[in-house]
Amino acid sequence: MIRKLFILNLKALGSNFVRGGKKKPGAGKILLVTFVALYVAATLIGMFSALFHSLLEPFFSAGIGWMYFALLALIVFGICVISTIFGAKDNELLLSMPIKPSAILISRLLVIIAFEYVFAVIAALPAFVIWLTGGYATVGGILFLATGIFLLPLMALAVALVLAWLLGVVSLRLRHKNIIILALPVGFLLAYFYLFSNIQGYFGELVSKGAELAEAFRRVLPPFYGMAITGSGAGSKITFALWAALPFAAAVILLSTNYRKMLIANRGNVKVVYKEKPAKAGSALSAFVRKELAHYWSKSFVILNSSIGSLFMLALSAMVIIKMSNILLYADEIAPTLGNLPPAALAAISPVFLCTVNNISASLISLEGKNLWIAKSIPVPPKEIILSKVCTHLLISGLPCLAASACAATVFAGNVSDWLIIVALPQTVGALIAVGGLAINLHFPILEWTNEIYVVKRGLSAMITMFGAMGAIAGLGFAYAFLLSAIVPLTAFLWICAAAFAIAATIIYAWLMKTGGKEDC
Amino acid sequence: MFELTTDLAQPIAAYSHGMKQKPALISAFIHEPEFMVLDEPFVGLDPKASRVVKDLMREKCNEGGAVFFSTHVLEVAEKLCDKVAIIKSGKLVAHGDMDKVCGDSSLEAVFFELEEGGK
Repeated sequence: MIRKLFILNLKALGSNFVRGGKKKPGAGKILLVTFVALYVAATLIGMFSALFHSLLEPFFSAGIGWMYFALLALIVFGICVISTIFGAKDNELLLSMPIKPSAILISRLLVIIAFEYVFAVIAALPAFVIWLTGGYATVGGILFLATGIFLLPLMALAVALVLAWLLGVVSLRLRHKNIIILALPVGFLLAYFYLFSNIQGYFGELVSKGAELAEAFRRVLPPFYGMAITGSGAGSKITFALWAALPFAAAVILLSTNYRKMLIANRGNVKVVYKEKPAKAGSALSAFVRKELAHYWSKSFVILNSSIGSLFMLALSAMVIIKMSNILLYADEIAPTLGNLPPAALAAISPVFLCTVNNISASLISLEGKNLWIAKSIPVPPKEIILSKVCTHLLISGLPCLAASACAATVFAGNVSDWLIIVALPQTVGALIAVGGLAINLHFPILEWTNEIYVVKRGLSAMITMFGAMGAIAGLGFAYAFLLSAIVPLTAFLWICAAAFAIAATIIYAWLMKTGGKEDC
Repeated sequence: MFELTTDLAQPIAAYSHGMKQKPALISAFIHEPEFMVLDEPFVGLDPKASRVVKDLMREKCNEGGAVFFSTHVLEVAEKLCDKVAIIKSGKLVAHGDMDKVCGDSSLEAVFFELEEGGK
């Protein structure tokens, strides 16, 4: 039974990528999915390669090579703690069948572990290759590292299970749980960026206080330290293996016995009583936008996964206002390292990159799921519904972007032309992503999901939109730096890009309005 | 009309099958179309709501409009419809005014006669 459920879960996950409805995916779609998967993997491998390449020499030459592996272990651990097993919509269906709850749990865990191994290998492979080619590797170390990568996801999963359980228990007693669930990862990300911006200082401290840090690491995070000291004796290796395997086994046993109870527990959903009030007449468009925004605000993982850029834009706006003088000084300092990039260009480009992280519209059709019939059955032209989704994206992404651009323009713009490009460029990118993401989602809808998070986080249209936008912007940047910089002044190039984005957005918008509603979802 | 007022604060996704049918029917009637196509409109509806829908359909036809609907409940079709069509294995096997198709028999008798006659 576990094997059958495991295969079914894998197929369901696969269909999240390639299937929208009952139609079988064509060869083109499968090719596209393979390309997107390879592109994402290559991007992540490139990112981790750059990170570990910069760490290898400083750590090993300073005699704290163990820190290299400790960081590797922390990264693998961090990217593996992203799982969910309690929110699947088919839990009730499976529980009504003569299937043991433990079999449902284990089949779900196996799928998560399979995915975690893929992520673990993506993070560990660059570190492993760089370490190997750096001349610091030993046979024992290689074997231990391979075992470590096998064991780490188990420990990460144990922690994820406990965290999910704790969050579930705590959220039953909280009123504004969405804000808290949202604040945790945002706080984590801000801390990450703070640490990353001060990394050079930390390197210096790491090198000077290696022994003390090793001792602190051993005391506070023994499993990661155990994995880090690849060259040490068998004792520490066994300790590390136990640290990784025992919590996992304990979590599985604990959850197996309580899984049914946890799934059918009353999640504190109280039936809201309708209070009669005078009906307000408004347009269908505003009603749909309100509905989309209500859904958006009610799901913290949607906010986090589809619009993290907006949160950073708001943070950027506040930072620009509060630290205006410091930013001007910092911009002068880094200008030579960026090829003397004009401040206005820097101010225009920064929100553009944050816009590419926002892919709200790319999952709005999929999120309708089995309720798509409502949108289809109401007597409202399909283009109104499509327009409402575009407006939702523009409100969530465009307004914070406008705030960030206006703040940046206040600081960096030297004249009216600078002002206009700083504000216009990110808005045209945002508009293109809004209509482009929606068009892609209309073409690749996923309506048979068991958990909304798969659509927002791993849906094909969301991935194509985000990585496509990032790739396109990076591609234009490289094209200018290596090919066009001698021919076209930067500001002129930015205006050309803004015009091209606006034209592309208008064409896609016209297509959406004309034929988008006729697409068979 | 369908006594949904007490449930207006709930999302439609949380409704039962019969309750989902109600907003779908409201959506169909609200813009006052002259011609309607309904697929099994009575499935899941409680007797009271079912009666409301039948009255609305009758009213629509009396006003000069038309309602084209499918059903497996032959008694409903017999009592409600002016014209009837019977489909078997994707083929139209009988159609016309209800009086002419049924004659002195019931619609159920005609249906089974056609069903057995085709075997």
